[in-house]
Amino acid sequence: MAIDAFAPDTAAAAPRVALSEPRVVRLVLIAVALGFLVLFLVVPLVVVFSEALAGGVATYLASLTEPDALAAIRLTLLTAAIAVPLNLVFGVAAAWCIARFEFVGKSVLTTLIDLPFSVSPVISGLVYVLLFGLHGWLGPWLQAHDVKIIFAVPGIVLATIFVTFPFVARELIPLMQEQGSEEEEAAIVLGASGWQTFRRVTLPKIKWGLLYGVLLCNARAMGEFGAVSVVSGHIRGETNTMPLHVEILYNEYNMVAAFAVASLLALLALVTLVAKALLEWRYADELAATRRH
Amino acid sequence: MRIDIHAITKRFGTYTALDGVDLQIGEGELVALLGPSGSGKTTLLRIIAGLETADAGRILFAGEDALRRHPRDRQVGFVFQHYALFRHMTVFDNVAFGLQVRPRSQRPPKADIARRVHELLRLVQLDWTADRYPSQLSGGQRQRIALARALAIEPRVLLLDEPFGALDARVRKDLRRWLRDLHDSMGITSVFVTHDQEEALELADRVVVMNHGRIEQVGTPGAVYREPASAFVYDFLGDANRIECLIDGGQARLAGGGTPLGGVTGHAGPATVYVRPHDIDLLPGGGEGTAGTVRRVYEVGPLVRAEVDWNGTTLEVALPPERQETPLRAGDAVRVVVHRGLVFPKERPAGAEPLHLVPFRGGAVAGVGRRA
Repeated sequence: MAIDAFAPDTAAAAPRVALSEPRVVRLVLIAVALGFLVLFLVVPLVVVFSEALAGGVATYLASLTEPDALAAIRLTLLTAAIAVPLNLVFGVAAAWCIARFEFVGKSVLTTLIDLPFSVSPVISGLVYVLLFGLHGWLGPWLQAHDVKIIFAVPGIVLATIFVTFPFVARELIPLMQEQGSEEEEAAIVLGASGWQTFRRVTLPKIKWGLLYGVLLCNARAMGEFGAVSVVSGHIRGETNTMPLHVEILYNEYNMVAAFAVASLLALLALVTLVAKALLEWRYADELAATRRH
Repeated sequence: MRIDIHAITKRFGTYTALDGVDLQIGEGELVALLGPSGSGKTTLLRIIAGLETADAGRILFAGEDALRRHPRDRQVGFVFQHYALFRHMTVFDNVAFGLQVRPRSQRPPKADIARRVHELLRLVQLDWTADRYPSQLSGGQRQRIALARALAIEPRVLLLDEPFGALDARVRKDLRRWLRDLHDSMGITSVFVTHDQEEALELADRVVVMNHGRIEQVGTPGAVYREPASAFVYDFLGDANRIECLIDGGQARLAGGGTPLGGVTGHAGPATVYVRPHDIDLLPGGGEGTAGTVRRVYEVGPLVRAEVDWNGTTLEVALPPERQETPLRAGDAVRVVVHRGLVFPKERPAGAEPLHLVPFRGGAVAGVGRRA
């Protein structure tokens, strides 16, 4: 422990001696990894943008600003704006109780959190149709009270929440389990209240994991296709999200418009990634301090 | 502050961690809770702090029921084995935390907090680390910061859970002395948990030896070492030879060969005699009956240790430097003289005091009947 400060140096120096793979092996490994990346990630991204701009910038902008596209963008942002905060709260609460307490049904809860990952999104959507649809369990009652869930915005939001709820919890549970609760105990003994302990000790400890979970959750909430497709009803200008809008345009052979909206979705993902990289770079010192402990 | 612990019991499922523990800790005392892992010592410490709840029993802080108070209101300073420093805060913010989280009405002004933090950092001789993060400090430095953080809230009692457990031997020894000096100058009632007997004996005013959720013995370091109340305490406080004997006619003899060890008054029947390695002497030349054979000799620092086969019983012997003039070699025949030992009869009433072994003077039977 006393030589902790020197640990990084020795750690960096030692593997070079122990793991001196032949040059050829190293080059081949790097080439395979990079080749894979280019073929499956970079090339498709380039295609999306080049196709989108094939008709010129004016056509590109026009296909993004036409009313149906704008409505789809608005609905996507609205859905994410509801689903992400809810899953943030749920994720922190679930991770908190799973990492900190022993209770009956803990393993059931842990398994259930993974359910949306293991179930096909189409089924996630169908579940809601069976529950709230016209011929579903609650359908007649909902219709009698004039509440529309399926083929309307609430259904889309519900399906999105369902599909994206593991992201934050999955990111936080192992992190909180590994960190333990000694720091929280120290805070309480020092006189901090429950809220002070959460805000000043727990939250800063988990904030990077939380941020990463939220980014992933957000990316999925905006990009979800299967579950939303089942409950949406594809009503143009009303219940179309961006991924659904892309599909409709594509099926109508409106390639430029389809790729234009698709490029916007891809751009959102890129922005998220860049934002994350920027934050990591900006707070590199603090990150190192929290990790190396 | 005085702490009274009455019949504290704690169970985890079917496992009993603490079984009706009673203990009084006086004002300004430095007490060690010593025991092997699973003896309940850490659980007791955590119950005093309020990090764990007791199933039954009472704890009084200066006569007032402490268990009814929330841990945050107990004014307890707690030092964790792995420091538990807030990793995302600077050293300054760590130490200031206890003052900053006070309700607005009781919170000292910013300037006062800063002054107090620097005072404490000077006290632990780490004033220069105020702007660093815990990860930039060594283990010993981190533990001193943890101590400063605990002292910041002016605790009525200081609780330390294996405070030196994660440190290497050299740092541990320095920090131990430093903590003793600090305690003497501040006079805060302190309780620390350790599984290291040397640490407990060197540092504490009183040592509480625990085993299986019960207190085996409470006493000054000298008393528990010299007059252990049970075989467990004897064994735990230092190296021990366990010699199976049969006591008959005031003499203890090896259960195997009948070789006499020394005199015992007041008991007859099978017994185990506990002897420390340095309480055995090896004299050159085997006499009849008391002869042993040296199996192995090895040097550990200033001491020479020998393994001796004594009519079927293996003895661990530590010889002082002055006995090394005639070096021992494996295979030598030696006369074994037991200078001091404690006799624990096999069948005896619970809680009975162990009996002292009365040594033979120079191996002669003439010594029988005189106390050591």
